[in-house]
This record gives sequence, C-alpha cells and structure tokens, in this order.
Amino acid sequence: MKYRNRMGLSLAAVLALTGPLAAQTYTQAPELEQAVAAGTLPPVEQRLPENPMVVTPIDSVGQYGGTWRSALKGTFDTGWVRRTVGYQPLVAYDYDWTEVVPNVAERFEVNDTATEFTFHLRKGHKWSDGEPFTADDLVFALNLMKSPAYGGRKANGFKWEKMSGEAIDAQTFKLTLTEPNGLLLQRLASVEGMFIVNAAKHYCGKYFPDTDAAAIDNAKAAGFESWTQAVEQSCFFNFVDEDRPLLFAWRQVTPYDGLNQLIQWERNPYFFKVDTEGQQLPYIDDVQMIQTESVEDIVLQAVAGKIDFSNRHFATVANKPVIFENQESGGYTLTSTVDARMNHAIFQLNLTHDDENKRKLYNEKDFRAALSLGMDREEIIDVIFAGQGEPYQAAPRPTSPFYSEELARQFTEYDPDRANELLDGLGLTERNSGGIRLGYDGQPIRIQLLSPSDQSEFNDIAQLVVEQWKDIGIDLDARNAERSLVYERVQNNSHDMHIWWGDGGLNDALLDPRFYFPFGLESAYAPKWAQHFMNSGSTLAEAPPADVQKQMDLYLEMVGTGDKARQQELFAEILDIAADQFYVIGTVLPADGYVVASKNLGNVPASQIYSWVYPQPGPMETAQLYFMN
Amino acid sequence: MLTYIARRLVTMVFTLLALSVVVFVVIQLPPGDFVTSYIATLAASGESVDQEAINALRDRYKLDSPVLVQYASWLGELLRGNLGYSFEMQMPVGNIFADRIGISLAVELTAVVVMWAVSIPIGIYSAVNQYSVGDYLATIFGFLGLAVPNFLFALILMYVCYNWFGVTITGLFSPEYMNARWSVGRFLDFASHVWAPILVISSAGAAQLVRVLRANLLDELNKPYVLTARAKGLPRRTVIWRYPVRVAMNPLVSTIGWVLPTVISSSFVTAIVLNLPTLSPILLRALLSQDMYLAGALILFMGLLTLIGTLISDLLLAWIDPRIRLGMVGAN
Amino acid sequence: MVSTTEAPAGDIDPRITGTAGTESQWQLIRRRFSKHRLAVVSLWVLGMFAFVALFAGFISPNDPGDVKARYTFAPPQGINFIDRNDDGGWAIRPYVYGYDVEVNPASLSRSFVIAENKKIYLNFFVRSWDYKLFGLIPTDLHLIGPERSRDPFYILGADRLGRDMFSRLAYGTQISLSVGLVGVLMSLILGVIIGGAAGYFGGWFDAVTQRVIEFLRSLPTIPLWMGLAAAMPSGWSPLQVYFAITLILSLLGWTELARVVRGRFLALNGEDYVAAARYDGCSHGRVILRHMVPAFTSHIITAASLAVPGMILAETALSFLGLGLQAPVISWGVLLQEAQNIRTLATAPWLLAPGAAIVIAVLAMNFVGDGLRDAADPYAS
Repeated sequence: MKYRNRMGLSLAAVLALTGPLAAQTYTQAPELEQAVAAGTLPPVEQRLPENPMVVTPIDSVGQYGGTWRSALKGTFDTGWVRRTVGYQPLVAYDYDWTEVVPNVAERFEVNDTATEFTFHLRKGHKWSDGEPFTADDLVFALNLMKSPAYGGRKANGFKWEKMSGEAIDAQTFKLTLTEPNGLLLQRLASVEGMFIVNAAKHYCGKYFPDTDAAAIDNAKAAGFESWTQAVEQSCFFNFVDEDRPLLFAWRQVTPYDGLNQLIQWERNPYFFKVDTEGQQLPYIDDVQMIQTESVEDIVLQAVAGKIDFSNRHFATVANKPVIFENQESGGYTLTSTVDARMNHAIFQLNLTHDDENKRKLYNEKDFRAALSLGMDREEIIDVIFAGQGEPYQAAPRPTSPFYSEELARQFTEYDPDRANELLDGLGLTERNSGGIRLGYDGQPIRIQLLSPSDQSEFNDIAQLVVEQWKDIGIDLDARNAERSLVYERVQNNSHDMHIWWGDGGLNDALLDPRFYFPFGLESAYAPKWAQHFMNSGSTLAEAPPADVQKQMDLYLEMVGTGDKARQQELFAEILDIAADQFYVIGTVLPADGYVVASKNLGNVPASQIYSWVYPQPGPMETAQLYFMN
Repeated sequence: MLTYIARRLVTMVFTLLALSVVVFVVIQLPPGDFVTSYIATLAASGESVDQEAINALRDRYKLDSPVLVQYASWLGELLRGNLGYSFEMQMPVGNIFADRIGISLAVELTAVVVMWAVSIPIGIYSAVNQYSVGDYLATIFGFLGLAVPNFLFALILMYVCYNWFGVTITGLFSPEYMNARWSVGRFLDFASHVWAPILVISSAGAAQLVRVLRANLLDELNKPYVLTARAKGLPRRTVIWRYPVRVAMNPLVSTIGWVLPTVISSSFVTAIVLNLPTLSPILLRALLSQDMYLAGALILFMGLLTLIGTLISDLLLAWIDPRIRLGMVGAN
Repeated sequence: MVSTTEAPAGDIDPRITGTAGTESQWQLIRRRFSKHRLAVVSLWVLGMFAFVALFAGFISPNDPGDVKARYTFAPPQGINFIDRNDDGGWAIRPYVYGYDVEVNPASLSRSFVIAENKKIYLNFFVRSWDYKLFGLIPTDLHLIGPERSRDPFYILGADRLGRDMFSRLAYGTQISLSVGLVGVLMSLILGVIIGGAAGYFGGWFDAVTQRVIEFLRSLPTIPLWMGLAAAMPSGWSPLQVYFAITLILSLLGWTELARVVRGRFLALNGEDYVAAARYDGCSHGRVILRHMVPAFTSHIITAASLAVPGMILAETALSFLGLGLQAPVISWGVLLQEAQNIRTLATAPWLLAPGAAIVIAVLAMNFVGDGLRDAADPYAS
C-alpha cells in the first residue's frame, strides 16, 4: 500500500508538470503489436483516448499474458459478468467504498442543489469496435432506458421521468433532474448504473424506434420478438449479443445465452486505461467463464485449481474446509473479503399479516423481543458457522459510520427467563398439552417459516431455533420449500415469517435500507407498507403507522439533498426509529469471507469488501490482474 | 402391415394430445408462475427487482390469462409448428432444441447401445452358467448399478476420479473444444469425456436387461427341445445360439419401448451433477422455473420418443417373430 | 418311485401316514426359494432392516434431532470389545475412545483426534433419551449407550449439526421402507383391481385399459413427479406430505403390476380347470378367488417385491431435486441430499452411509424378488 501511494503521488506530480501527454509513449500486448504491424489495427496511441486513465497497480506493474478462468451458474448469472469484466461505469466506487471517483468520465461536477450533474468524457475514447464514444451515446442510453415505450427491465433506483440528459458537446454530458437526488452519483457508480455506458448509439440505435424507423424489423431480423426484448437482451443487462460494442477491458467473443457452455472474452484493443508505465491494460489476454448447473461442479473446479480468481456461489462457510485443505495441491491461495452483509439470517415476522390475530400478536414489540431473547445465537454460531461471527441484529456493521449500538445489539442475549416473562406479560399464559402457548385466538401459537430449499443454511438455523423456541412455548414450523413457492407467498403477503440474509451493512445501507424501514419487495416484514412506499399502484398498498411513515419521509428528504453531512444526519434518524421499532430479528454478524485466487496471479488484494451494490471484485480494477509466470 | 402402422400412428397422435393436456396441467400446478421464480432466482444471486418490472413482465408474458386460454393458444401454436418461446432463455424453443438435441441424442443413444452391448454377453453367460461364481458376480455388479442412485454415483465418480487420477470428468468437452466446430480432435475429446456419464446412465438399465435376458434364456434352456438337441449331439454353442438366444431376445427387443424414457430420466439427474450440455439440465430448469413452453415442448418430445420407441420395438418384434406377425391385427 | 429300503428307525414311513407327496404349494415354494442362496441371505438382511425400522428408537443411542455444536462432523468412533488394563489384564467389555476436539479458525473446521486416553464404556439396555416405542409406548430404554450419557457416542459419526448418523439412519429406515411398502401396497390395490378386471372380462374394458396403461407408461416420470410434488400445499403436516408423496409415486407405478396381473389372468382364462369351474356354474367371485388367485399370488408378490426398490429410489431422486420429503423429516433421500456435496465426500464420507443402506436394501429386495420368481411356479420343473 505504501508503494502505491508513493508511486501515485510522484507520478501525479510528474503528470501535473508535464501537462498533456502528447509525447507519452504507450506499449501494448504482443498480440496487438502483431496486429498493428500487420496493418489490421491502428497504432496504440490512436486507440487510446488522448488522456487515458492511469491505474496504479495494487502491488506491482504486471506483464501481459494468460487466461482468467472462473465459473457461472445457470443462465441468469449475468451478475458475475457485471462484477468481473463488466465494472466500467461512468463513475465508480473507490476501492475503500468511501467515495465516488471518475472512471469512464474523466471528471465531473455537481451543483449545490444536486440537480445538475456534468460529466466530462475523454477525447478519443473509443468503443471496442473502434467507433468513437461520445456524450451522444450517454444521451441515447438514457433516453432509451427512460422511454415509456421500452417495456423491458429498467435499472433500479432511478426516477426516469425526473431525469433528462443532453450533450453539451462531444465530450460533455449534462444530466438535469427536476428534483434533487443526493444519491444519484452513488447509484451511477453501483451495479445498477452501468446501463448508461453499455448502449452504443451506433449499434443499439437500430433497435430503438426513435432513432431508427426500422427498429421492429431489425429486432425481428436479429431473432427477437420485439425491439424491447432486443434492447433488454443485447443492449442493457444481458450479454447475448457478442457483437455489441463495450467499454470493458475485454470484449465478448461468445454469447451468454444459456446454451453455450464456455463464455469467452478477449482483450479489448480500445480499452482506455494504462498502468503507471504506459502499458495499455488489461494484462490478461482472455477471460473464460464456464457455465455449469451445479455448485458442486464449481467446488470441484476450485479444488482442482481450475479457478483463477472467483468467489461466486461456492465460497461458503460449509465449503471452506475442503477448499482450504486443497490449497497446495490446487495451486491457489485464499484472500479474504469483508462482507457488507450485516447478518447471516434475519427472521422477519409479517407485520402486515391479513389474519387479525396474528397481526395483533406480531405487532407487539414485546413479542418480537421475547422471540429474540429466546434465541441462543451462540449455539448457532458454534454449530453452523464453526464459531465465527457474533450475535447481531439487523443493523449496520460496527465499522460503518452508521453503526448504532442499540439497533445492533438489543435483545441479542440469550435470556429465556426474561423471554418467558415478556410473553406472560402479554397475557399468553395458557398453554396446550405440548407446552405451546395459546395465542389471542385460543389456538397454539404456530409460526410457519418456509425457507428456500437451495439455501441449506437457512433451514439449519431454523431447525436450531425451533428447539430453542420450544422452551419459551412457541411452535416454529420451519421447513424447506421450493424457492419460487417461498417468493410467491411473500409477494402475496400470505406468509407468517420469512428468512433471508441481511444486505445493507456498509455503504449499501443508503441505497438499499430494506431492513431499516419498509423499502422494497425485499422488506418481507411489511409488504403492504413497502408497497405504499414504492407507490406503484399495487392493491396491497396500505398506509403505515406514523413512525414508519416518518422514516419514509426522512428517506425521501435524504435523497433530495446533495449535502453528504445532512444525508448522514437524516439516515441516523431513520436508524433511531428503526431501533425503537425493532422490526426484525437478526442472528449472526458474518465474519470474513474468502476468495480463491491462483498462486500465480498478481495484484490480488488481500482483503476486499464483498457486496452486491459495490460489485466485488469490480472496484479493485480487474484489468490490473496479471499472471506472474 | 401398412394398415397396422397407420393405425398405430393415429393412436399416437391421440396419445400425444392427451399427453399435452396432462403436461400443461402439471406444469401449471405449482403455485406461482415464471415471474415468481425469476424473482426468486435474482434474489438468490443478490439482485433485486422492483414492482414495476414485475408487472411489466406479467403483462408481456400474458401470465394472467386463464389456463384454458393459455393451453388453447399453446396448442394452436404447436400445431402450426411454432414451439413457443422460452421465458428464461429468451429465445425460441426451436433454437434451444436445435442446439442441444444433437448431443442429447448422441449421449442417450450411445448409452442405449452400450447397455445392450454389455448386457447381452453378460446375460447369456449368466444364464448358461447359472449359479456359478461368474453368474453371482455378474448379478451383484448388475444390481449394484441398479441400486445406487444416479446422482450419488455421479458425484462419487466425480470425486474419486479427481482424487485418485487428478482428472475432472465434468462436462463433455475440454474448454478449447467447447465452442469449436466438429473435428476429429473434438470427437476424440468428446469420447474421452463421455465415458463417465455413459457409465452412470447405463448402469441401471444394463442391470435390468441382464436380468430379463437371463430369466428368459433360462426359461428357454430348460425346454425339451434344447435337451433333445444336446442329446442328439449338437455342440453346446450351436445349441445355445441357434434358437434359445433368438427366442430370449424377443422380450429384450420389446424393452426398447421403455428403455429410451428410462435413459432420458436417469440421464436427467446425471446431467445436472456432471454438467452435460444436453437437454436435461434445460428441462430441469424449465420445470423449476415454470418456463411453460420450454418445459411443455421438452416433455412432449420425450413422450414422442417413447411412443416411437414402442412402435419400433413392436415392429422389430413382428419382424423377428413370425408368430407375432401373423397374429397382428391389421396384418394380411 | 417305490422304495424298497427300510424306513429309518424311529420314523414312521410317510407312505403309511399318507403324507408323502402332499406338501402344500407354500412349502414347495419355500423349498425352491431356499435353494437360491443369495435370496435367503437377502431375506435375513431385510428382516434386519425391518427390525431396525420397528425398533428405531430402541436401537438409537442418541436423539436423531439432537444438535451438538461440539461434535459437528465428528468421525465414527469404532467400537472396541477387548478392554486392556494398564496392568496387562483384559476383559471383554465394549468401549469407544473419546475425542480431542480442536477448532481450526482458518479452515472453519473441527479436527477430531481419537483420544486413546479417554475410554467411554458402553452399557447395554441403558436409560437415556425419551421416545415412544412404536410411536405409542413412552419409554427411555435403549439397546446400547455410553455409561455417562453426556459422553459422545457416534457409531457412524456425526453430521454437520452434530447429530448422530446412526440414529438418523435408523429413523430414516422407518420412513423410507414404509414409503416403499405403502406405495407398493397402493399400486398393488390399483393394479390388481384394474389389471384383473381387464384380464378377466376382456373386451372393450381391456382395450381401454391397455391404452391408458400405454399412455401412462409413455409419460416421463421425473417431470411429472416434480410437478405434482411442487404443487403440494405448503401447509400440510409432514405426515400428510408423506402420504401424498407415496400416492404420487404409486399413481405412476401401478401400471407395471396391472400388466402382470392382466397377463396372468389372460393366461389362466385359457386353463382347463378354470373353464371347468365356470361350466360347473361357479360364480365369478368363486372362480377368481378359489381357482385363479392361488395360481398367480406368487407372481404378484414377486412383481410387488420388485417394485419396492423402484419406489425407494424414486423417493431419493425426488429429495435430491428438492421436492418430496424435506428436512426435518428423516428419510434416506433427505439424508443423502444433505450429504450430496464435495465437502462431505472429501471430509466426512461417513455421511454417505444412507447411500450404502439404500444399495443394500435395494439389492436385498431384488434378490428376494428374484428368488421368489424362481420359486413362484413350483409346479414347473
């Protein structure tokens, strides 16, 4: 790290002194040298923008060559693609996830009221097919995404009607909002914001009726049913079209359509980043992702040393022993990740239950407190997580600036006596012959919990809790079910309880506060109130109590301000109310995770944040990975 | 003969129709629909979807219309040769078929051929040397193949091959041949990978065939004419092969009918564990995610294969065994 | 065959008592069956399984649902019988060695070293955890257990939650065997009634049944099982789910039995004695029950016993796919599904014991079925 800072400072100083880099010489990968010599590719200075982005490697300047192998699971694993080769957004998160830094954009400005965002692009920046990348492309992408006629999947978290973009000139893109959005930059830097640099006008324009009258025919000719589908599949979120121009470090060779087993990427000769010695990135020649159906296959690949850098799907607590043991024979090491998730499993009672009696019971804070006190978290930690982790509620991590002691630690002690007291205090003193307390309707209190059968951890935890809650007279009926069944019930508000892990432990708390107040579809503890907040016209929507509504108002206010300090203030208020409300019952704060990295791979960070929003490993700049021999 | 075939074909059509109804109903039975499972999959990967996207998806796929309407439109499209669209893979079902059916059939037919090639000699040996050590051994190994669940066998094989030989047997091709065109090299690569799934898939079926053949051959060998032939001095080999084996093969031929769907079913789970690029993993995913057109088309296809298999085996039987040919309804 | 030798002393010559050559059909069957050695051995094996299933609680030293954090993935302890003292003497007394347990925080695993200094003596007929024998009689008597009930006693090791594999296997035997039996029973009832009617009455009923059977057999089973299993309401109790699963399995399995029964009926219809009985004026019922049933009972039993393994394997396949019986129900399929991963194969292979149980049970049933089939027609030469 010291080396990096020194290098960065001195180089920055040199750069500042020398001004424009017209005289800078760049070098490129040998295979590209040959192509230039053969005349099939323009020379490197013409392929790079005038001011390429300089990346300071984590450890050392690398060398060219090698293939990075990893694995995808099933057809829907575009997430992994976006996290590895695909993280080249307009603006990006920095490595420590503390701020938003320029990436594709060379620099950017925001006005005081957070309503005008100006991005300056690099002159000479080209798409992977050699065509120029300009502000027009950004305008096009935005207009396409926000167009009401586009009926496909849209990026999360943006209010399209309130956004408009224009190209001041070829290198300047201005985004104007009708109301302030203090979180816009964060969203653009997140995994949801990448859409804006993924749709090249000269290529995707043919699928948009506004830019090409023959859009519908073009889409059909390409094998799609509608232009919406063509756009969704080939221009925004999916990677079924390998000809689509991109700004990534590698360009796509094989379509990821669920049929191909090997998705191949090759070096992008027009990638806009160089290292501190002027070598054009990326170092690694090719990226290979093998699509597989079973996680056990991926585990075997990892153990056999066929994964060069990945933690996708297989790097769980359960698999660590076998992966740890085979490091020597497989030729890899394990680096660690700090999980942005703040909880391994959160038990969420449905506070907006349709059954009157259950609703009354679940909404008693003492009831939830009793359930929480009746949970032996140490046993869960010992049995399932091999002693790693600590008892925790659904709250930001201790290292987060939003950490709240009360929200995080209240009711985490194992105190069945107190729990019994609280339950007695609620009037639930009668029990049936099996020792289960009778509820307000005179029936034994039975809470049904369905956990997705493909996540075995949840059911294991639930089974432990079943036994623990017997001691306080509650019958938890926990069983596995096929996951779409689980989601069906949550969507219809017909569940008693839901269980899921806890996102929102670090900086993603601002963007996805689902456990701090009813925010979205994932707030399974109050679907009706969440629908009210989402305001999408669902018949389920129901106005929440005053405190909850206050949180919603505070959040909207927070989004409307660009002042970071004020945002933090407001969010802290939201968390205070959340601590009072005690919506959900958390279990265990996750300890560090791990990543498998080939011993031969250089510039691998020793520790990185793991989250969906900060799409690990993206912000570490995967283009700087290199093979040492 | 032609009349017979014609009548069978007509019955087949009706059977397929009935099958399509059953298939459609069963696929729709589980609660939720494709959109629900789509959301669940995304959630499991860490993504989230908002309500508007969900509404839009339901609209697009017309999942809210009544079941009968959906069935009628599906049937209509099928009759026009349009296999429909896969929600999950976002492409016409026909494309998926075209891409995977070659490998699927190759793997399954090879399994069938291997099953036969292996079980006939073993069955004959077993019957001829009844109660000998060889017979017991063959019986036990055959049954082992039958008794061990496919997925367990596949997983153990996977692990053992890696642990003892350092070879990963998953998939059907090495990375360099995965997307390449067919060539001698690719074929050899295929052969070097395909033995593992064939071993797992054919083990169960081979055991059945050995048993059937053994039982029938034993029945034949105990008949008086065999004894007579031996008494008259014919060499042992001729006695066995000239008539008993041919008669014992009859029921074997009639097993073609159910062998094919058995192979498809057992290759189902194996393909998941061993990551084979066949239609099976696609079918499993389609069923779990309620991707109705894809699942429906695939299951109908499996049903069609079975019916064709039965027809072929009946015809073969008729060809081999004149007694049956003469007794057939619709024959001369 | 008239013998001229003297009858052995002390025996009454059967020719005098008139019992020579009058063994009943069942005695004949039994005699032929016992010639098939594998089948006899298998019958004993099955008897053992049945014993385990019936007395699962009695045999299990530990509660199968009892979670013990300290002993997750504990390896099998191996029972020793000869106890040597320090001073050279020895006695026959069963014991196991305890463990030295260490947690390895880097690899997140526990390492278990068999500690030869920790001898845990075992007693027979101990009193430990409460259960209900046959599901009815509450008791706490067990066949075997450690002297001090807190000591670890894992004959087949422990699973990822520290639960005793042996006890879980015993309870799993109950469910899995009964699923097979109940399923086959249902198939049998359906198959005998439908197949019998088709074979006996013939005509259009037969033709229709044939078509239906053919149709059902052309259905690919796994997708249909999946669809039906996934459609089960989630609110059902484990017992209801259990019966629903067996019903689903048997709905597709009755065709085979129906085919056999029909075939037998058709063959028997042509027999002289059946025709004679009819001309004699016997009612349908009498003809069927008195004359035909004895002739094909053994075949039915054979077919049924050969169908049971199929049911058991089907149950495991369903559990593997995530449908069918699920935790916390304990069945072989559920146990296997929990062990179906590389981590288990590599670090805890004892958890594959249910696989061995399945293999042995299926093999045993097949051999018994084979033996029955060989013996089924005792009047054949």
